[in-house]
Amino acid sequence: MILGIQIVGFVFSLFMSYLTFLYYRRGDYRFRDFGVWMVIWTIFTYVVLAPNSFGELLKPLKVSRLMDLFTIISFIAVLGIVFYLYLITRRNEDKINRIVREIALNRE
Amino acid sequence: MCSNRMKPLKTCAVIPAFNEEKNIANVVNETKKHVDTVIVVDDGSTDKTPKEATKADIFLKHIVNMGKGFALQTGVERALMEDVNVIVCLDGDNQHNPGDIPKLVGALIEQDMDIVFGSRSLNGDMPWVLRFGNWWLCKSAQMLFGSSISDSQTGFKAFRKETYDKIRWKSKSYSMDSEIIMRVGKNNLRHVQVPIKTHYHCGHKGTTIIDGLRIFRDMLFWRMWG
Repeated sequence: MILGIQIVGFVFSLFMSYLTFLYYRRGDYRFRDFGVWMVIWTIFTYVVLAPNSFGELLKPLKVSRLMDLFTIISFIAVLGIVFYLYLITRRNEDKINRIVREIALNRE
Repeated sequence: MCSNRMKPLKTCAVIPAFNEEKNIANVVNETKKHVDTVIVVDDGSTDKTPKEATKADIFLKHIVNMGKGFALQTGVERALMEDVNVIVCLDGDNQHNPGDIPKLVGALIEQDMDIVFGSRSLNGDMPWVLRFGNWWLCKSAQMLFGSSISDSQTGFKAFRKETYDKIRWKSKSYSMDSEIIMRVGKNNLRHVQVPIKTHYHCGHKGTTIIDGLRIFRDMLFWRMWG
């Protein structure tokens, strides 16, 4: 039986797949990025629709419920993504600093 | 003018400006009377600031707004390319009186200091929010860095060319003033405060309460990892 939260997850996944396609069509990223994100949404959809297929992981990971397992994995994933984005932002910030100063000093 | 080290004294004023079309021309004209070179750094203004600042000897433009600390640093880096001995920093909003520049430079040279801070705390023109914020940040600087500066957020200062390496700040925002104080204490630089006159034209510009909280956060960070 599909639960309410699974419907929400499925709709979210469809919506994100649509956005991924839309921004790819607008040329915001390359085909490789589009492919990576589509794989991510496909895995997400599978997890949402067939959560019980991960039941065998509960015992070896010492987690009592599937919901707890997904929450923990999501939290780890989000932390990883935040760190990665922080790194990219800092690198871009340094690049902007250099560009703005170079232009200011060379365009007197 | 000659320094006590018998080198001809060349002074350069660095003025960061962001949307200061009403004030920058006056600040530049008044400042030119007291220094050899005036550098204006337009920090991505969207008004007529670049047009109004044409009388500056050197005009630099950031294509986007980067913050006061970053703009001032661009100006100082450019000043160092000139043969200057003393760099004076003042705000572009006409808050400072350029007529006070000789007082700052005089104290720097005659008292053989590394840096001189213009202190606003001795006159009562400061809005109460700024006054409270300044008091709070000064107390914090005293507790965290042992500073004796009574106006931690003053943008009016003069320092020697050689001092810049020791006070080179990383903050791009208003935190740079507090960072300089932190570096002055850390490097045991000779410093003195000189009372200056200020005039506040625009209540919604300059340091806000959020800026104050950010400066405090940065000060805690510098105390722990600076």
